[in-house]
Amino acid sequence: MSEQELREGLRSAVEDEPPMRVDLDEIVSMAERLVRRRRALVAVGVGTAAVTLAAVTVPVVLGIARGEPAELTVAAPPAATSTQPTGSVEQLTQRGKDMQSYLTTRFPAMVPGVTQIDVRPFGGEAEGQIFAGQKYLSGTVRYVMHGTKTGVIVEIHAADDPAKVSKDCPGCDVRIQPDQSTVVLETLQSADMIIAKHFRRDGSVVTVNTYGHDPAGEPAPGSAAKLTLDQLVSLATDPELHL
Amino acid sequence: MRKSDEERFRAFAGDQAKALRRCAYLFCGDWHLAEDLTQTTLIKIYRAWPTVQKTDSMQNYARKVLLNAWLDEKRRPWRRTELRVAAPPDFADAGADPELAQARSWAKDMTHRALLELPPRQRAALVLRYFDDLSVAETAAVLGCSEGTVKSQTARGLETLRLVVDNLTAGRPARRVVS
Repeated sequence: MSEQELREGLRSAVEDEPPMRVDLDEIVSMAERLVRRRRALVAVGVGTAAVTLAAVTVPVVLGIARGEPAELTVAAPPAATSTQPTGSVEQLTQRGKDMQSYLTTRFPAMVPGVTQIDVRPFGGEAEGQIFAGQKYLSGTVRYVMHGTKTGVIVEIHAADDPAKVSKDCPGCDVRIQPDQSTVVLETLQSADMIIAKHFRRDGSVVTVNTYGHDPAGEPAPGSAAKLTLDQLVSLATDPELHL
Repeated sequence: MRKSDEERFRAFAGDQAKALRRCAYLFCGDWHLAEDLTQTTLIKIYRAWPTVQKTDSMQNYARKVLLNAWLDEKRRPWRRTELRVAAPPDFADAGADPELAQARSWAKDMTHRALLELPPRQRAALVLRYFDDLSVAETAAVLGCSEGTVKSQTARGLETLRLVVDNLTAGRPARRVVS
């Protein structure tokens, strides 16, 4: 097949396309809803923090707390809330760089026997690309194990990321961690992959996917290239991986 | 979003929606999924519109978002939708004429069937190079890889495509690859 035949074949493959049903009004209203929901979640987080701060500081200022005012301690910072306003593009970019640097040293120590480790920049819709208001970071660690080129995909989702990672996973291996957070391990034989999902106590979720082949394209099945379950759990629960 | 920005987005989306859906179809081989991917892509672009407008090529940015939406869909099985009807709808397609179907070009069926046998990145490289007519540099920017990788992916993709087409033409099973 020549390049010209391929061009013609691709053109003719889309000739009998069905009518377009994408409705621009619907897309705009759906996107607006998502934007509003994100703002509302951030507002709730900020509001909760403000109320918590006020609840601690007002009694101190008015001197109505028990004991002598002089003995009162300084108001504690607000407790963790159910939502965490995600940082700016600059902050997320910096966080991505920190995690990229961390994984460059941590990954080979955690997974012995791997070679050609290449920790790619964290991003969002595309590698190294972060957009305003993004609620997650995604990065890939490429490596070679037992002669197979493969990689793991690490994603960190904020508690208020609208793209919720599902905890429901019938038949999956569930491991409760010492801090009572949960790791769900899902093995997909057909896709030759294992997914670890760490549902953290602050509401954020870290997912790590490992493959028996190259997820970027080269077909080379061989489950020996996958991380072990313990290595996956260790990576997903690593406290250094956060937004 | 300001009214003027929204109007610009609507104009952009109106211009690009069809091209994006065709590209998505060649990626995934399913018009319904292609439409969903197009919608997801446009929603993501809308939410990042102030940034998108500053990019050198909004079309290539859209292709990049589309490609990632598709790869994302492939590697996140828990997000896939289920068939929510008791039984698959089964009814006659009045527009399907066996004679017309017979007359469809060889290249059309064969190329697309063979294309779907390729691994995702090779498939994307071929679609971007030979359907969207992007240069090697532009394809590298969309795929997020080096120009050398694009060249090797394209060469390997063409080679595999030839092999699969030969097999299908000879009535042999296509070279099934893991994707």
